Amino acid sequence: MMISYKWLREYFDKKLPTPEKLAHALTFHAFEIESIERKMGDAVIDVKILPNRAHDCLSHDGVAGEISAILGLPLKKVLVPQFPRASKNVPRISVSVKEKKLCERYIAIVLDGVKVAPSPKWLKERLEVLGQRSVNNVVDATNYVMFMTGQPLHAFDYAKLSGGIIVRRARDGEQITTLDKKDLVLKGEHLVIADKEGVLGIAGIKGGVRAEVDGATKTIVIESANFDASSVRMTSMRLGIKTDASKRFESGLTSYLPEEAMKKVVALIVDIAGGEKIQIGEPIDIFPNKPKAKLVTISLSEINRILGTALSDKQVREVWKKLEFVFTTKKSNATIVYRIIPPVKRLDLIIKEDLAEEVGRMVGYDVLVPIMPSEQVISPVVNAHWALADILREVMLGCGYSDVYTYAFNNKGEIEVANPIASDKRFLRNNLTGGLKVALAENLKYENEVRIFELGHIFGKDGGVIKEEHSFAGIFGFQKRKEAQMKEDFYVMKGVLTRVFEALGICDIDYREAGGELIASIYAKDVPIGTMTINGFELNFGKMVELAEHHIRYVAPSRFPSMIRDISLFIPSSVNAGVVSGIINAHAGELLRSLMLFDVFEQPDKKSLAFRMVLQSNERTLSDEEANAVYNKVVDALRATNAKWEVRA
Amino acid sequence: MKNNKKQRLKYLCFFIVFAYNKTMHIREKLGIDVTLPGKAPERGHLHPVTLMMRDIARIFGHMGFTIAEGPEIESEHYNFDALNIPKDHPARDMWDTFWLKDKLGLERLLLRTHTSPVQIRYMEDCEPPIRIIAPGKVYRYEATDATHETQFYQFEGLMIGKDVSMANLKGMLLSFFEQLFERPMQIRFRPSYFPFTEPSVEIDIGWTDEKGKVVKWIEVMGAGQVHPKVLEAGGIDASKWQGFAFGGGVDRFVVLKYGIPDVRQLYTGDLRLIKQFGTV
Repeated sequence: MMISYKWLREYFDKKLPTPEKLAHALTFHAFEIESIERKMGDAVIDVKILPNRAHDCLSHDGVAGEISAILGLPLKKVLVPQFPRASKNVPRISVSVKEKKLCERYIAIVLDGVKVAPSPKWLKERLEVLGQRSVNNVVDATNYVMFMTGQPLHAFDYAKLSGGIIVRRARDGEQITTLDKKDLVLKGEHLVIADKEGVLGIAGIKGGVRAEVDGATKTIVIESANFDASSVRMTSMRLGIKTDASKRFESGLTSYLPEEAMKKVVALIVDIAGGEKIQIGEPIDIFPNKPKAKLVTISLSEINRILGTALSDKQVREVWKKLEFVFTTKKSNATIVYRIIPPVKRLDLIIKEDLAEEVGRMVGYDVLVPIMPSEQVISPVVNAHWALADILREVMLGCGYSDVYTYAFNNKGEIEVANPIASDKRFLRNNLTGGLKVALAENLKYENEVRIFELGHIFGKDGGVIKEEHSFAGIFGFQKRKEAQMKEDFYVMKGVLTRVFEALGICDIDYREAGGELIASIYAKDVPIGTMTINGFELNFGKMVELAEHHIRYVAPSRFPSMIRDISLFIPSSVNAGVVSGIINAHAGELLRSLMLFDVFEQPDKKSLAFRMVLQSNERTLSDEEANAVYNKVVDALRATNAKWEVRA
Repeated sequence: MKNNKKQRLKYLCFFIVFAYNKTMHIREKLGIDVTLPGKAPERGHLHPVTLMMRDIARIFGHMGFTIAEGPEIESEHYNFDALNIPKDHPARDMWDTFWLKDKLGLERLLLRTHTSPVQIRYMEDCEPPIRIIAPGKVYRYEATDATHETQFYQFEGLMIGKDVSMANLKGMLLSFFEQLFERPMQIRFRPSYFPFTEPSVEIDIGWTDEKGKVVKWIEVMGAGQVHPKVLEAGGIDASKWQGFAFGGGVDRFVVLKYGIPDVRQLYTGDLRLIKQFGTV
């Protein structure tokens, strides 16, 4: 809200502090200040009015009131002008409010003998300094009073009306051309101001051209009304029209304001667009349900408990007085209870916490002494996701991978954004690998070798249901790499994953062959947890957390010596080492303590594998015969599996 | 007797020279230049956002706060309604929202615009007293520039107890900032408005000089006492419990602490930035 310093000065008898001092006072007791701009011999203060005070402080009256309360500067006593005596010669207007819930109050008044002309210099300047365009004296008067009081007003050309004013819902498909020459098609949900012929304006948002006040206008109807906040907001959003009026109505104005604003605007129009022949009609005021003043109660101890202060009764009373609250006090249980009737314009004061805020900001939050809570500290619960993510990052760092964050928006995916920021960012990522590939390519412009990983959320659908998963992916690459090295690189990456699984306590890992771009699918305890490509992997981190085990059960090492038996064999290249180790494991029996593949040698068509079996018993020292028996059993099993396998025994 | 002593001395000298020669010998034999750089496998680097979130979680962890999390795809209920931001209320304009085409039943879905929904989800699951810190990713539908991104990280704090006041909020946050920036600081509150807190404040931190005088104030967070409607939405009796909530931008603290001029650089995976940060 643009506030003119010059205009503000008119509210006070005493001299106002400088704009900077005012800005400081407002900043620490009411509103944030966006800027102070000096222009046209004035200073325009841009006050950021948030939604809780938009109903009373999108106005010079409101901001002046705050300044008065904060600085203790009394406002000049200004009497609201009364309506001039009504003349019987003025044409009459009827008003019919069909939607009483959406229009709590409607005041209309006819002014006859108006001379529409350019505004006087002072008014033009006042609007211009606020960044407003001057139209003519009538329209400017309504705008000026809105910036003064916060109450939007509208003027119709009486001669262009056909019958009385009706406040009703639009009919589906009804049309209007707005003052800024936009053609709109309305719906039944929109509240409109209409006459017999059709729509005159969209209630609380924008007037139409049909009854526009122009140079030929002699008789005007002024509207000062109260429209329902939600309805105005909904209509303004759906139609995509935001105006100074809609901004105020959607914040919920008090229905006591239209009368004061009407009196002020009539007096102003008589003054600047009147001439001698001006005559004023009887005001019509449809105001069936007057809202009752609300009572809010808070005690001194509650104020101090919320704020954490030790304010006195005197300090609190001082605040109520500054804010012009009507209140009574009552002593009760060693505290003082305040029963407060806030001013009618303060629609934001509903619960006791609202009053505590008034005390806090008026006294100033500097009064709060930083103290630690006296509450007992409860031991925090370990968050498994976070704890394991920390371990995982540590392992990845140790393996040379750096931690990166990439964008969640993508040009493909399963979940579509209704309002994307760009056409190539329409979807939410359904994997991390895509983003990592882009980052890898970028980084390889500057580095010979790159290793990166990311932990983040990915989004997809499972049977039509949205699923959000915590994913973990890594990728590596080189500027130049011979194909012969790629295989070794893959095994190194697999080694990294082995370390990750060990560190997180995920066991029974199984790598299964996969096709296409994939090299392997990874399973833990037969649950699929991820996939590997030749230079990357992506794992379901959520599942990894579920599968992680941290219970260590100690097994005492055997007191008896172990024996070693090595098995080497040639197998065709197409056979996986895992198949061989599976057979050994299955046939070695309970004496097998560990099995290690300690040598792999590959030839074009076959590969040589060498396994070491460690055999040991918990009860006795094994004899050579016992060890040989195991060895022979395994060798027989291997030979029986496939005649082409050459077991070198 | 004299001879014996001489003999002993001779042996001792011999031993020292021998031992000395022996070490000389190995280093020389292997040709080790002790001034050459050591070799270690290259370590990766942590992202500054990770570092900052860790710091935040650690400091609040020491003050008894549990880390809580929530989904990034949220319902209108958790992101707005339960936080006292009803439909058709102008307060909704305070958050520019990415909406999804999909719905959950009749309810509209969105990308959470703040970490505040975690408050509600946690209150629904856990009884007070509560102390949580919820770092996480949030989204805003807005044009990007050096200080704005469509995606960024926030952290939300919530403390509910019998007697948790705004002065406690000030005490907790002052302690947090001093630990985070490892220097004495000042903190001040300015009146503000958030639908989910009442009273609401903006929080500025002040960098002080040697004399304790503030050189510069920086706006860093929004906070306040949890609105009774929010406590009720979380299933907590507002007549028995009260507390504070606060929320700040992780990215903003990264920018402040490390002097990164453009937040957009944080999300491109650029190692030229990341490699300037720690390896532990």
